Amino acid sequence: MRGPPPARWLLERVLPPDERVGVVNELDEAMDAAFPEGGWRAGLWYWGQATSFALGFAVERLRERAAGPGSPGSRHEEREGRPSVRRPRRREGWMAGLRRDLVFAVRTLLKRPAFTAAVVATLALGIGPNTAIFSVVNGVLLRPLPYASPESLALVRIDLSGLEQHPGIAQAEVLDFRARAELLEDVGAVSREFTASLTAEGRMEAVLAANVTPNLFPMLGVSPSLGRSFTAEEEVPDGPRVALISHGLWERRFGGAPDVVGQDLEMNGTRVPIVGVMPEGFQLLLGPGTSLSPNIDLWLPMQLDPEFRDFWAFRAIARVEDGATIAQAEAEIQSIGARLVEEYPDEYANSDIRFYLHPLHSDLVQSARPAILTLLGAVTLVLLIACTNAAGLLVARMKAREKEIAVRAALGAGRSRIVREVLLESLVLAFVAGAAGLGLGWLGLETLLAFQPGSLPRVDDIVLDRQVLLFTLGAASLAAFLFGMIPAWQASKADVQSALREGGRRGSGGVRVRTRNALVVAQVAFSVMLLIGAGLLIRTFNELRQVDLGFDPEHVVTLRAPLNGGELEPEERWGIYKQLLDEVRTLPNVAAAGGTSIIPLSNQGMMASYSTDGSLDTNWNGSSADYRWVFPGYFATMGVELVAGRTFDAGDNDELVGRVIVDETLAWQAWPNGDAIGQHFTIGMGSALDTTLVEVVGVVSHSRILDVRREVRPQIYLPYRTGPGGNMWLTVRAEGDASQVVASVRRVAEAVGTGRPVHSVRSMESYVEEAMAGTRFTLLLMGTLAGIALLLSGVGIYSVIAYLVRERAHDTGVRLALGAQRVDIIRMNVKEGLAMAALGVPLGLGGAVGLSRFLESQLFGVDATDPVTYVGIPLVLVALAILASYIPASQASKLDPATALRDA
Amino acid sequence: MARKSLGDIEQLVLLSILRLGNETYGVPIVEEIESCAGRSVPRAAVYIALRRLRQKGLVSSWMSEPDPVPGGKAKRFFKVEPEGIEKLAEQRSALLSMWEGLQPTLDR
Repeated sequence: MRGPPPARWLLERVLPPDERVGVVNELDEAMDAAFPEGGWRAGLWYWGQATSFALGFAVERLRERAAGPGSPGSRHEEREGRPSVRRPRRREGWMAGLRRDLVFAVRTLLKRPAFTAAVVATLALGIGPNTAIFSVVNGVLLRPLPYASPESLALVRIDLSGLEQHPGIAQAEVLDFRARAELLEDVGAVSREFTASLTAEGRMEAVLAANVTPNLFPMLGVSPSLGRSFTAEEEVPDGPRVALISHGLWERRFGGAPDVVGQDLEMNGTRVPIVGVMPEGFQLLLGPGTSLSPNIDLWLPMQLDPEFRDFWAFRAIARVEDGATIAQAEAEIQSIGARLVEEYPDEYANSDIRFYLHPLHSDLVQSARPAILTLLGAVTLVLLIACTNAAGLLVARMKAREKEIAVRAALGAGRSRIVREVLLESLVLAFVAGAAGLGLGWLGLETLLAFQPGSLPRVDDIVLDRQVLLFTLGAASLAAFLFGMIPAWQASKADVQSALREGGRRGSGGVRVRTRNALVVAQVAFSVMLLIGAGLLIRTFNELRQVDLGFDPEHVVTLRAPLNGGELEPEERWGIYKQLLDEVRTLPNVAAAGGTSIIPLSNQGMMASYSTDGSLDTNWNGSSADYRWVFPGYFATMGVELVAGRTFDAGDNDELVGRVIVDETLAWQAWPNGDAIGQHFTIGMGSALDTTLVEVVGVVSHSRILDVRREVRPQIYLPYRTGPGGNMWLTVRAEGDASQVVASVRRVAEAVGTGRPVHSVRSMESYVEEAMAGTRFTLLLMGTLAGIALLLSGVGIYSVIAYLVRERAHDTGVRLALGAQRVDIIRMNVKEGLAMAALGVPLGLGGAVGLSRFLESQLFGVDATDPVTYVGIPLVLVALAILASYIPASQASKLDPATALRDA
Repeated sequence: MARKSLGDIEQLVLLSILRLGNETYGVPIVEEIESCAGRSVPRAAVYIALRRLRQKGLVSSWMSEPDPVPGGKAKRFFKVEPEGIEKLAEQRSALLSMWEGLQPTLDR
């Protein structure tokens, strides 16, 4: 077992070269002995050790150098036999002076462990979250995609008949762009993911598969780690069927056997030879809406048909020629698109098609970017709060050291020397805090990745690497500068005479208190900004939970029940499914059962166009609607309300006539008078010339099946029998716990003989949860950061008031002696705390209004300037200020006047 | 030139190397100090002490071959030199002579 890489990196940088190997190896061994199981405790232990080694050896090396020539361990001794000349101290170089000051700073800090620990902890709380979130920014947003020259890769998206930025084009268009676009070096395509059943040794497994054009992998600069890629003849219609498998499937199913190439794969009942294995970790990363999982296990060659022009379902990736920009290439394919519309008037009639090229990387991360940037903003605020807090602590310490500094200045220490010392102290503090923050960030990142919502792209690229370490180093240096500047500036103005004369009791205390007050005001303001962000997200999440989905996910379990494919006639398929449904309905604890071709909120959808005036002679010439096939019983199972007419019965499937159920939205749009039942209209699905006249038999309430946040499109439900699929989802409503019926449904499916395994068993609630997971995750992180901000601000206010109380012990004693009530003393001090909050809150509110527009895209059902949040958060801060100042204030009120007057 | 006396941890480290058969490396040394002296010392402090002892010439050290197991790693081994033993003996007798005659005082 080895320690966490960033900690090892730190060690390797700090240890003297001759100690490196031994210490690093032996620490691994000691960690193994202490934590044989590994885990986060081992990581934490290692970080502790690495930090203590780094500090210990840093000081040791400084000591060795400061000890000078002739002393053990100095460079002179190591270079044996060379006479050393001892130079007079005064002429020592600038570097030597710096070294001495550094040793001095470390010693000064070690002398006050409580103060040092407080500053380091504060700063580590600021740096840690930055490290964690920057790792995400780095892995997701900054690091180039793992393909050859990724900056010239782009995804084709289209606008089509009211559909915006749809990530699919037609097969013929892929061929057209390849042939005509001069600015495109190549165009490859990939299908949506689909499930394939693999059979080996009598065992069946459902895996995710996709079709790709043979040129795609070479275009990305990826070649199989074993065997070969697809060849051009495998792209043509009816070309040979072969397969590439993922590294994972190779290890799982074939035990990593090197002779897998050439073996046959039994897929959906047919045999397909394996031609190669993709490299470990390879993922085809495409953006939202592309319905392509990064975890595809089986790649098959896509056979492009030049006649297939009106089914826009294939994701096209283009590589732009060297020297051309993506924008130039986009202009070119738009003009090619315009020519295509002229050449193929039937296929493109009224489609308003328009092509776009999106850089592959920004397309992939576009939906995650706002949340990540929001979090980056939040951690920056936390770092600022931590810096102001640390500055406050340092300023207070300067007060205590005033006399010492004055004495040294009087003895001839230059002002610049003193300022340098103070700055160096900050720097040492910042670097120690940086190391601790790195450990904290590592822990935070592990936690973050364990809870990430699954919608975060490029999760595998999120690691603590060199860039992150450099960032942390930068953040620590910035922090040192930010919080070290103020005390250094104050040290430079130290008034020697008055400090000495007054014995350091009053001195420039006024300025200092004002500085600290200002720092706390700034902290309160930053906290308000952060808390308002968190508050708005809490409100958003609440609103999301309140959304009327139009269906009831509770107690519903969904599972996919594919039939064994090609050789079945449509009525045979319906026969099997009908029997399956009938038997499932008789199972104990099953309240209702139905099924659908697409599960709600599963990020999948099919689009049809429809027209009520018979004008739909071709596809894409009407309004668009979402459509899916359902089994009888679907609406009852899902709790979708029937508004008018009836739901499907078995007869709708047996007779194979066009009867449909529409949602209220479509019924209202098409027949505003409310007489939808019995009306006929045309729908076009898939291919342009494939339009059907259908009759409305029922109207149901609209369900949020595409997006929890909004109504996307009207909906059309068709009876299963009119659809082609043998790959339906069952939806089963249970009495009570839905998971209990899963096993019996599985048994029934096997008994009925669907021929392929039931898979993807999930509760309907989990789909709803997943649709909100991104928001919940951002909220969780923002909440944590807001908690840190509150803690730090509370400590900030507390320490200022506690400091004031100590300063004023004498005055308080006088007041108490003169008859002041304890409550007066408390009131006086709490007022000071409140005054800081009163100044900070409006500043923070102003800042929050300024920043709120960045948050807008992530809010739902609440305004970015939501009054509830903008009133509530200040109250939290005021309560915090009262609490944080009440504690020292009540201590002050308990002073014994006699003691106070004597000691102060 | 009167050489500086040994630090507390330096003494513990020298003694534990000797107790461990005068040829050992960091991990057992730390364990030996913890189990025998009943003291928990920071691991880093032990390694720094070893470094100082090496620089003073009281111990010698060399890197071992990696352990003959998969993933075996090289370690830095230490051996106390005659100068080190001499130094320990010196310090022990100094301490013992300081203790002489103090027993009654302590028992009182």
